[in-house]
Amino acid sequence: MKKAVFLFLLTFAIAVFAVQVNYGIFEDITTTNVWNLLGSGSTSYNFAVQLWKYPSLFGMNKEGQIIPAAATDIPPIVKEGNMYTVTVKLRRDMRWSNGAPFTADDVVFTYNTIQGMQIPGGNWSGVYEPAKIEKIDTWTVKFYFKEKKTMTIYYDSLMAAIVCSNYWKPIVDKAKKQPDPVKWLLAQEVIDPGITSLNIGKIEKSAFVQIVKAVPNDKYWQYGEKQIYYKNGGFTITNPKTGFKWSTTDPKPAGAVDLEVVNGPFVDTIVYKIFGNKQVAIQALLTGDIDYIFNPVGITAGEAEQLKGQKNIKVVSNPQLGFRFLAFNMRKFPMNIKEFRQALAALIDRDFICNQVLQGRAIPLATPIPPANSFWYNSSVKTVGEGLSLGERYALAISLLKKAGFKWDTEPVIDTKDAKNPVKTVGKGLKGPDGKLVPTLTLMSPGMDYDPMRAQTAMYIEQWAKNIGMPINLKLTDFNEISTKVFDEVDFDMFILGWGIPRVPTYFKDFWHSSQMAPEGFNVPGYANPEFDALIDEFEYADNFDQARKAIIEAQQILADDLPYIILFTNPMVEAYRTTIQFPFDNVLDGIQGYYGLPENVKRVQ
Amino acid sequence: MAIIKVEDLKMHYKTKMGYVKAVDGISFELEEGGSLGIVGESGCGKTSVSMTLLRTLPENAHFMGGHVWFNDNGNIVDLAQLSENEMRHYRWKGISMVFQAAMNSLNPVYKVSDQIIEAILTHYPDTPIDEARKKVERLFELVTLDPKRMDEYPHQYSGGMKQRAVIALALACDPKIIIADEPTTALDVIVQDKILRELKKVQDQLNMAMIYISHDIAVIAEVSEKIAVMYAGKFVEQSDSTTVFKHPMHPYTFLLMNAFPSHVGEKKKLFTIPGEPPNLLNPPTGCRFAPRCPWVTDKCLNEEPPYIEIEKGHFLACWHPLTEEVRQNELRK
Amino acid sequence: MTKALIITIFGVIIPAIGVICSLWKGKKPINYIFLAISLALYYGALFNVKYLYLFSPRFNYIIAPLIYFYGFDLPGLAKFIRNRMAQIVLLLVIYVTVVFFIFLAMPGDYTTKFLDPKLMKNPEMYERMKHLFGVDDPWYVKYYKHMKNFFNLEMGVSFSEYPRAVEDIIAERLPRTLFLFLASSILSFLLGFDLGKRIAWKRGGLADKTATLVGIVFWTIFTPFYMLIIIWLFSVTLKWFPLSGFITPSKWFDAPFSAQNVFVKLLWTELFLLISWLIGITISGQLKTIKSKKTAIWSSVIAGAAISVLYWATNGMGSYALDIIYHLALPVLSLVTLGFAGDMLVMRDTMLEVIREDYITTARAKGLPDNVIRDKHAARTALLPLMTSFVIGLASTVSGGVITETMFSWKGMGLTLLDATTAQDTPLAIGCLVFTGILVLFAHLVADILYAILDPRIRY
Repeated sequence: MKKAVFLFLLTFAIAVFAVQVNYGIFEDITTTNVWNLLGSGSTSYNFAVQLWKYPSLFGMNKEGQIIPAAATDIPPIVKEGNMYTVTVKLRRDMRWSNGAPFTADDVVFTYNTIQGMQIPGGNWSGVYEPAKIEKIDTWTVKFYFKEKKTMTIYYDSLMAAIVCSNYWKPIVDKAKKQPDPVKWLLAQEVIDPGITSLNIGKIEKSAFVQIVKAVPNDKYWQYGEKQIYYKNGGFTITNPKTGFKWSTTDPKPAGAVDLEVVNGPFVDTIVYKIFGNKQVAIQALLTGDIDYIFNPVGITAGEAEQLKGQKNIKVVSNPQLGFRFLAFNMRKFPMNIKEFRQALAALIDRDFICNQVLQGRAIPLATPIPPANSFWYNSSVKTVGEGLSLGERYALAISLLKKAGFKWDTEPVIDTKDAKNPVKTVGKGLKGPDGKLVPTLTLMSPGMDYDPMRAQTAMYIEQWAKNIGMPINLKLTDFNEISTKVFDEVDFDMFILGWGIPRVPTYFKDFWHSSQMAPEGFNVPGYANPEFDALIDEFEYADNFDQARKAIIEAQQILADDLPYIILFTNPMVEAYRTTIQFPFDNVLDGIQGYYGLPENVKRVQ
Repeated sequence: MAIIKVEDLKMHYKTKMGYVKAVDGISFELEEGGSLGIVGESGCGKTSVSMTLLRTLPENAHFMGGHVWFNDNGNIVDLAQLSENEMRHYRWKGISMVFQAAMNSLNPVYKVSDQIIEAILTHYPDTPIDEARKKVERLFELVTLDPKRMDEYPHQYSGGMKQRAVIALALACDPKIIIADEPTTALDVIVQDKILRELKKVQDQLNMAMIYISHDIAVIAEVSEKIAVMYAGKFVEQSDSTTVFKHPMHPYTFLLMNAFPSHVGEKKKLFTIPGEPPNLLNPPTGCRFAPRCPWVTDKCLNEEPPYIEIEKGHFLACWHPLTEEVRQNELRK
Repeated sequence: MTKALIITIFGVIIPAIGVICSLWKGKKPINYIFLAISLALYYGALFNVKYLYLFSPRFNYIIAPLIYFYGFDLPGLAKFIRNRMAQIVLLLVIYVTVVFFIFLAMPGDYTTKFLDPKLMKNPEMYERMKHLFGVDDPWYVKYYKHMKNFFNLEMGVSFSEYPRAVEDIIAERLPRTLFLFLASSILSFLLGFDLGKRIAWKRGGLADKTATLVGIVFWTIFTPFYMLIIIWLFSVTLKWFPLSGFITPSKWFDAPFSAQNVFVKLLWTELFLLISWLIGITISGQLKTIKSKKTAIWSSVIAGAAISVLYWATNGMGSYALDIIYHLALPVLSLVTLGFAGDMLVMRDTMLEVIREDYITTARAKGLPDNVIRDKHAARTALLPLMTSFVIGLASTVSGGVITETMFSWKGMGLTLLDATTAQDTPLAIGCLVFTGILVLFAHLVADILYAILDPRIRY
């Protein structure tokens, strides 16, 4: 009896003194199985609570720089015969939470299992790239590639999550004996060891996911490891416990320190509470029920307004990784004429839309890379007609059309001096250079219920175009219908959609390279420019990151001129947390959610 | 000694247009074991009289005065002055009722036996269930129903059986008075007759007072000792059945009697009463029957005739009572 | 349980009963024909004789008894139930087909949302995924698979939670939904019934006017807004109840069982209480006096409650169950306040009609106390239409509680259906719909049977 009382008191004491932070999320996690996690049914929330627990060979720091994670350095790509190889040396101080050391076996096992069993899922696609993975010794792995796709190799193939072979090997072996090995393996709901100290504890479906400390701090290899950002752009990783050290070489870290991120964990428990409704989650944040709202789309402007100025609440706004755009079907007349596309682009006043129509809820964008992604961003790219007034925009559009040989039955008359109502005569009967009447063009955009921003923008575009006789008809269309029409049937004139994008602009190839034509690929406009293709290939097969950067910067200029897409705007990522917790940083591209709420760095402050 | 004595009973219905004077100064008395028939056209207020006596009135009914002296084993109580809760004890035990619409008077979702037992247990809560059931059996036998069928639901009975069951229900608490309001209207003529006879037989056996209410004076005459003729909320004539039947003095009684084909006696001329019964919202001044009366005079139209006892036991409200001669003349025409 | 015993029971005893009944009762040759067919189907399914499958073995088990009973001239209600069962099977086949084609007509498919540029590095990957989910099959193959699954009483594998079975997901979400909606439906039914009969009895009074007005306000109020107000008032301002969810996480960290276990047990308890209440009502129906009726109902309810309390006090989950009940309070409160008005107004209207019936006058003339007339005579008859709408409504709440589930973070069937539909997880969405369909059809059957029991005039 006494023992029971003691035990009870002990648990009670632990429960009281254990440091706990609470995050609010909005969906259940559907699986804890890593193979499935990165597979088809993966959701942001699946990632939020567990993806960070797996190691990868390389990673990215806050600034978007590539850094070694499980590797000791960033090795070069070496040509060997008709193959390209990367020989990665692994850190020797890493341990799985079950105590097993992290070795080359884990790396080889992960890549081979996925390739061997053909595990599905888009997030594993990089793992299929290496032709061969070879264990050189316990801490060295050699990857063989058929092609020198530099960007894919570094940013995708070698950044894949690695699992604990010691734990998974028997399970995978058993799976291979099943009639449907993949299905069987994906159905195994287990919590496997991670490389981090924090791991999943109790899961109550639809209620919460608990993250607990699996390794005591004094036994945890990464506890106290520091990532230091220097003002001069240098960066180092130092682990005082194991002595591991890595620094950038260009520039070398020197001078004042900008930011020091220390690895914890500093909490014993993180609870991801599941909410069904954002308003309720905001109430929970206000009452202190939760400390941070994790949402891959952040909170809305209205919700931010509600939270601003509240006691103990901090609202942060960061640029988002993504953009909304208007795409042309360049296979069809008149969208195949560059001046026509430029004329429409000239009409679109992004500043007006973002600041007046959307009331600052969107950030105008000229190129498919948000400015905050500074390494890749080309700051000199200007949109057609940037800085012009509405009347001047009409005039510019008309002159562009005339230059290409377009004619009107009734030519529009514009008074550029009339700021309010510059259109004196609405254009009618627009004819192409060959005298062919321009047919009515359909602009598809998701409806108000799906995305009011896009719908509103589309309405303005329709009106502007109609004023000078460009016969564009807006059709608010269900998202699924747009995607079927655009990606499967490739039957459209223009549409407005958005992309979420990675930090590294590998998507340039997918969206605009002539080898990626829809419906097989994602080049839906049907854009083909050899000059652009060459730049993208240069980027992809670059020898170093500088070369890649230069190619992308030039490619952005070409895109802004050719306009297969008119890039419209991006959104800010607005987030809120209680000041009772502290993140090492909160000013970062795509927000704190991009780091899944930094579980091993978050601190509770009193 | 009278079992019930009603004095100047008044009950009006409140409507948006004003008061409908459905019962407007009714008086009568009834001896123990005696029987009274109230007869009149539909809408004259006869059913309202019975509802006023039992005080099962709708919400818009307003009691406007009068007394209902009830002899409860020597204690004379005024039912009209009792509280709702006190009144409950006189219902069914003192005065019970056989309703006009026997078809719907039984609750469709309960067994007939249970509905009778419910009445017994309400007034005699200490009765054991077995005894109550035996009583129901006896009642069923009394009204010539098969006691084996007492545990059936009302919808399993025929119309006549339902009517008998309703009578059995009315008898459940050995009431002093039973009001039978058009007890047989919904039945065919042969069954009607049979039921009336049975009712009469039961009344005699149990020595209960009975108030029959009907529009058919012939039916009433058969079963009741006294007849009261009601017109437009008032009694116009009341006497023993023979007198009323043989020597009706009020023109209305005379016309009413001869307005129905009689199934007893010889064929005779049928009369129709001209005009419509008056609107009780605004009854005519003077005699209420005056506008329809063939013998009407100015006096009738202006002055209301008093309801007085013109012979012993014969009450009448008419300025110009019919003589035998007039009646014969009329019948001969 | 040994396999031999199961085989004896299902292989010998049950068919033997059938055969004996047929020989004893059956007079016409048609009995024996139907008996033979159903026996063949039954044994075909039992011993996996493929040639005897009607679509699938499980379907045989359903069809065999139906065919068997078609050989008989059944009396009233039994015949009605048999015919209704056959109708249900037929309706379900039509319903499942319609649901399938509605989903087929929707643009895009589950894989559309994986239009991730990354995928294009590996077009085979996209194809592999399409193939994995069977979304690249032609429609007739999909329909065939769909119907085959249905006849086999399987609902397939969810896309979004691949490779979990749809039944599995429904089994996870259903107890929570049922528990919440059963509790609130019963409470709002009782409240609506009681208030409805009272205000109808005192019609035109202040209580009637107030209750009708309040009822209509709640009935028409914008639900999410109202629920937010409730949450704001009771959780944020007064701090009486938790803000959302159905459990307090920190309390459950060390629980050796999952909330699901507790939910299932709570659901059984709820049903047990409901049944003990119904038993009380049934017993009281046999009793004559008001007092004994009341005693019967209360004693059976209290006995049921006592057993439940005792059970929860001793099974070690008591405090966890209390946590759930604590979280249940707000959603139930808002659902009851929102829902009672409908029941109340229906009850009021029916009561007003019943009050005009002659047997109410009889009851009053009999000298019954006012509340006895109201409860025993008027309300009892007025209960019938309300009961029907309640039973049918109960089935549809299973899928209809999206707003409640969202606002109170009480993820159940409604949200599952909504999410599955928006994500185009067709098997899961169809599974939810089919499940709801079955439930609604059976609710209709139950409502009909209840009606026959409650109203002696109804004979099938």
